Amino acid sequence: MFNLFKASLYKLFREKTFLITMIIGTVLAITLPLIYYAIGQLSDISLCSGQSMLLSSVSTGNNFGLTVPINLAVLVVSEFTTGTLRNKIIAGYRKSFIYASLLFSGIIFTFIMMVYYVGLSVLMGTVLGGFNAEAIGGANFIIPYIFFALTSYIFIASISIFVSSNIRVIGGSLPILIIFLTVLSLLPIFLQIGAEDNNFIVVMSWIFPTYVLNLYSGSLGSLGVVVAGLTDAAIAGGIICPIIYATVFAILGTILFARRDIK
Amino acid sequence: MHYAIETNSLVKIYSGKKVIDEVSMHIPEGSIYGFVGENGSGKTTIMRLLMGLANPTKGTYSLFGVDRKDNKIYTIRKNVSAIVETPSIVTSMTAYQNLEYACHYFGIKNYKEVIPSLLEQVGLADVGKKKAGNFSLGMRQRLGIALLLLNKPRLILLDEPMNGLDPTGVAELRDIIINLNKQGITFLISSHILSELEKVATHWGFISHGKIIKELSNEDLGLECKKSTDLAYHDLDKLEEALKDIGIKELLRSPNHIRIFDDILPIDILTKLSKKGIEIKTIRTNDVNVEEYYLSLVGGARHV
Repeated sequence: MFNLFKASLYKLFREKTFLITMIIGTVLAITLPLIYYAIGQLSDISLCSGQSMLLSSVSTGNNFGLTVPINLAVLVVSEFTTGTLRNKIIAGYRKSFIYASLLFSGIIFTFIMMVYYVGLSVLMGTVLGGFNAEAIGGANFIIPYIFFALTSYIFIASISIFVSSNIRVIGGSLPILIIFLTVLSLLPIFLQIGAEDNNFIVVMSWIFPTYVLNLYSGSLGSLGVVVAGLTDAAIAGGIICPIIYATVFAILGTILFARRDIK
Repeated sequence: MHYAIETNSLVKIYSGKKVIDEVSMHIPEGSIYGFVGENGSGKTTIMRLLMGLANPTKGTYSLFGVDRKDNKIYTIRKNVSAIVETPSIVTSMTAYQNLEYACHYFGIKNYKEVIPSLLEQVGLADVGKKKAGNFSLGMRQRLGIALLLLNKPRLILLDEPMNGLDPTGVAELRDIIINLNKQGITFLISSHILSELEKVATHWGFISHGKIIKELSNEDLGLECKKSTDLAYHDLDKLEEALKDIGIKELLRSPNHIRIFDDILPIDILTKLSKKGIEIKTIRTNDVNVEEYYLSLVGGARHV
């Protein structure tokens, strides 16, 4: 099992997709703060700062939040199309172990990309507009925010691998993944209209796995301002709900992967 | 006899269609098993079943006596290698990196010594640091063979291994197969190039429409494909008597001719019969090869 993980990581860092995602992340992390900075200069409203980039760059609904799962799906599908996954089965690995190694390398890929992108975005924002942690609530905000981001992106890695390992072709995997993740990000915006109380947020936090992260990041509109008042139940939902979903998709993915034939 | 592979009434159904129908195969340890069948006959499907890539709908198989459902099968598979259709390589990585990647999942620690010697063995030493994506089909096949040999296999399955190889590559592959077989490695090889398969196979399996129609050793195939000579004459009774007189032992009488299987030159037969006053007007020698034998089994001129 350890050998399989080691091999997966070896391949991951030598994939073209890894380099391409890194380049996309670099371009976005440099240009978006510059655009915000330019808009701020024109309108006299400060949009670009380290803390604002910390919020916007982590959102699952932003550009890079979708780029990562898309490229992850490309990586997984390439395992099927090149037949390298086939080699591991022939080499005597259980399909469940192979699925676990896909998941493991997918999570590593997602974390590396997000840490790189968020880090570079925050750095650019800080250079252009400074960094004021207190403006977003300081450590009381940032610490749970990191946990929400961690668990939400584990969920995103899990769903990406689930979809791509079952569909097994790029043409089918990407539309499904993009539609699913976009709906997951946008649906709460419509559902929350006229229902912005704490009970509603708790319910939503236990239904939508990326809801609390996006709430924190401000990508859900006006509700972004109420995060300081989140109840413990909502915070727990923001952390546990994505893990439950990630686990369900991992188990379901393993079962389906083990049952289906490999070409 | 110990079998490297034994299948028992294997069935595979895809979308309601039975593509493998009650297949029972017996591949002895240490053999080179030539697997022959027309396109779509089920060869690749059987190979995929044996490699664990697909699950049989019914029936079972064993590798080196271990049933597919036994947990020990995963250990057995560690010493099985295969190329199905095309070698599975990562085109964005170099030949060396492809091997190093495989070494990681095989758990081979001394890969820095193993890889150069393998690249040398398959004739890729000079291009080891080049991207596999730039390789010709033949070079990819060579890299595939290097990947095959990494885990010191006891059993190798090759599906159309000669595809894309130039004549030198085919000859080299043949030598590799023969040398590895001498070391005790069992081979299951499917190929359309039957003339090449004839040069290496020790056992044969013929499949058509998902069913094994014949399984036999090379010796038995030799007997079945035995050379024969057909002689036509207006009086077959007289001809048969004359043939027996000149010492022909194995003959088969048909309505229009007599077929003889004795190892005798046609000119000698004609001379001897002529001395007995029989002038043969039509003589035909039958040199049956594997392809013709297969076609005779399936009863028609299908493309093999």
